[in-house]
Amino acid sequence: MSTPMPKTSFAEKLMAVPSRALYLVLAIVIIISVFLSRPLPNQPNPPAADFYTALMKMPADKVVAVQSDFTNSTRGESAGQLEALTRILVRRGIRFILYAGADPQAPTVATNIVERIIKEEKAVNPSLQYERNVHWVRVGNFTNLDNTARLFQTNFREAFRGREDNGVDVLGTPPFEGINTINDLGLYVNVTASSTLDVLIGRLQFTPTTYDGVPIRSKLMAMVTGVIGPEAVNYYKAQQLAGLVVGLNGTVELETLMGRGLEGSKEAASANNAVVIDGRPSVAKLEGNSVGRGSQYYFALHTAMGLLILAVIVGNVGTALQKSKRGGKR
Amino acid sequence: MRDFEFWKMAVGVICTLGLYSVLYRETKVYRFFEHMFLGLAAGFSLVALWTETLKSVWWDKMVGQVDAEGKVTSMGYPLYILLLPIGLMAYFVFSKKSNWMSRIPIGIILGLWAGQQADNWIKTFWPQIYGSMKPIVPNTFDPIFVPGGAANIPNAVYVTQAVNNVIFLVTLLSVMSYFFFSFEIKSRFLKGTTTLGRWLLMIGFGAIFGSTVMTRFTLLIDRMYFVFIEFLKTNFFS
Amino acid sequence: MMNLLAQATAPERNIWNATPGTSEIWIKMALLLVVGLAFMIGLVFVPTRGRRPIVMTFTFLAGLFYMAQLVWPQLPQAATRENTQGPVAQVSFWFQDATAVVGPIANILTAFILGLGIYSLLTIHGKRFARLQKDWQFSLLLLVSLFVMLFFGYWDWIQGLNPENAAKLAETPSFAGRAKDLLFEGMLQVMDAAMFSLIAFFIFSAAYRAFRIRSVESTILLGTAFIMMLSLMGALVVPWNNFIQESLAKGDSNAWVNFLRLTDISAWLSDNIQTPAIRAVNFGVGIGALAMGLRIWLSLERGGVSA
Repeated sequence: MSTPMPKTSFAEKLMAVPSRALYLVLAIVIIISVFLSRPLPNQPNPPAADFYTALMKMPADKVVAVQSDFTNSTRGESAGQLEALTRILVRRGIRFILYAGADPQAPTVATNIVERIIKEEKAVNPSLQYERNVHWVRVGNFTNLDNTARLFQTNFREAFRGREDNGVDVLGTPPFEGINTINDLGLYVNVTASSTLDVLIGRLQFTPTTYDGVPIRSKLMAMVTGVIGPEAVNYYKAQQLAGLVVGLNGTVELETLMGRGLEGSKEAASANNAVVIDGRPSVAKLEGNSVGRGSQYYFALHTAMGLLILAVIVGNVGTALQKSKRGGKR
Repeated sequence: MRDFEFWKMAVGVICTLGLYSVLYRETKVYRFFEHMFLGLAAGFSLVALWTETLKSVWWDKMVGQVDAEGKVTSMGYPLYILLLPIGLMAYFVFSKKSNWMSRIPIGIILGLWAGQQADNWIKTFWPQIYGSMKPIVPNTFDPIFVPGGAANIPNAVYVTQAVNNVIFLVTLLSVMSYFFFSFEIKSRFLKGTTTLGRWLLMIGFGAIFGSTVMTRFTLLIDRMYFVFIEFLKTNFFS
Repeated sequence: MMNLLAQATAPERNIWNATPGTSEIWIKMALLLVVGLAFMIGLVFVPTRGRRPIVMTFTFLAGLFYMAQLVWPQLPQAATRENTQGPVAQVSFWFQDATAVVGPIANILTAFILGLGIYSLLTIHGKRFARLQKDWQFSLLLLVSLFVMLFFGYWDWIQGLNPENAAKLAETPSFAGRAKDLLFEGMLQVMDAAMFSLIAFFIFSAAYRAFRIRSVESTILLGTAFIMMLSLMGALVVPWNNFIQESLAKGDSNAWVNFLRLTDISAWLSDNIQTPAIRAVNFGVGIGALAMGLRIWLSLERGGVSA
């Protein structure tokens, strides 16, 4: 004779949802969201505004060092950041030096992104002149950043001696013209998903400068993933970073600023629909399409975050119901 | 006729789905793609170690360089060859008898790291210590809140600002006390500050959690976008 | 030694260098390699008591290079070799030149050491395949993937060494370029992204099962995490902020009620609690790293490099 199965309560059912069912729910919500993706509003914060301001106010004849340390393991966040940065540099005609200070895969990952964005920009604007080894140069990887960053501080140019890009001596290319020390650079941007930013903070010191009347407290700026974001915010607050873009939200902030520009008061922004952050200098928007990977993923981020919040609430309600039931029995 | 980009993407989609099969359970399909991933990653690292670093930083410096017309652009420094046996010593780590030798190249790298720590500490933390020294006594009482725009007087310390600065310092000191006094303490004051430190630290961790979730979800959204929009929708439904 | 370390600024002929392409350079390299290998083999026979001092010496000298720079007087920013004389300045200049050599040496040694992981992978899977142990097929797959990537990776790289060829290949990729692109961009990079995206599923499941209001700490953590997540959702932030600004504050940017804007709440938490909390943790970690650095440099670390 079989014994009757004890009746499972709603709370017990809630607690016994198999992991695979949870995985499926998350996947379905995100799949539907990427299909339904639509533009959403965003309010940029001061770190991203500072990042955009520094890049836009910097004279276009200055050179930017881009240290891109991420691999595709963080493509979702870091690729969108590098794409937005490349668009700004290309559209403003700013020359840049591209290299990595961590993973051997990082330079190739970054190069593929940069080349794709330049191709896209040229498709929109066929007269655009932006060539490898003329406007930008790919240097390669530095396997030991601790010592290389020390060398950057002591003698930036010397760190690149002997390096070649497609058989061309990088030191002979236009981006290296007049670049001897790190202070000859216009800005130094680290796109990273790891602790390479900590290494740079501990080794590089820039002389503060002013671009178009805007004080630039350090030429070091960062684009980081959400995981290391809170730590990077600490550097930004201590004025060790001139600007900061954190995670997907940061990318959307940057794309919003690129599309709308920045004003320091509501009155000034009323004419051009610019983003308003009190007391900030006026920064023009970037001509051209600014919708990138950040804006494309933003809707799905909302639904996924919403789902997580819901899951935590349901989990807690389930636990509370179970507890009250046990308490009742007692 | 589909082009190369289509097939490249199709292979990528199969690889993605193969790895995602682990969500069901660890099957042979998952292990197939996992081993392929590891093999490709190791293979690429071996290519990149030479092409991105050793060729230009070691080999070219050692043998020197000449340009297309045969003119010497940099002299060769044969002494760099000595780095090969030093580097090879690291591989003695697998030797039962001589594994101590692997500590020589590792010791050099760690020594170089260790030697930088004092300078690194100063450059990293001095601006943070300086930035933490905030005024806690207000020098203006009207208005109480920090006004926006032109009404904000430079160097003025408003009441709410002073209160915030006190909260900042209390957080900094209590979290530090939580870390530094992790052993058993008898002072009630220190016990109180460490408990407060633990609570305030949780606010920091809450921010880290929220930010981490953003990253993790974004990575998944990126893959779903790749499979369903960049591949499926673009190639079959547009 | 001075000339060797000054190579960065003065690449003229001296005792340390040789003209590229000459037999002299190859003979010197061969002789030095023999000396280096002899030194390495000699070390195999060093008695146990002699080993620790050798490792200690290498570690100490490496660390001393940067420690000495820290305490040595710094050159003024405008100092050049022409306008700054004297032994103290000369040593400072020597440090600058030497850093240009030490930096690349560290990169080279690290590259050699990074190969260690791949060597280990090759040994483990090579053995498993050779002995046909359980799952040898997967080991074979790993080895084949590794060598296929190696083959096409180098083939493509060699083709791009010539600048003219590289420009042509950028327009129309060769077979090797296509193969490398498929392996790297089409497979490796896609799998890299897929592998790390899996964490989202686990974090979601863990949040559902384990993120509970059990104590003061977990409640604070949960509350802050919620505020943080909500502040990252622009579609909520913008209308909420507008409601506060327009309906409650009546457009007055100095009204206290503006503090209820989501961006203001999250900024307040970030400025006044999260930043000092993380900074305090970093102070602790920094002091730990400093102490660890000193212990490693002086070989005081138990179980460290010279143990």
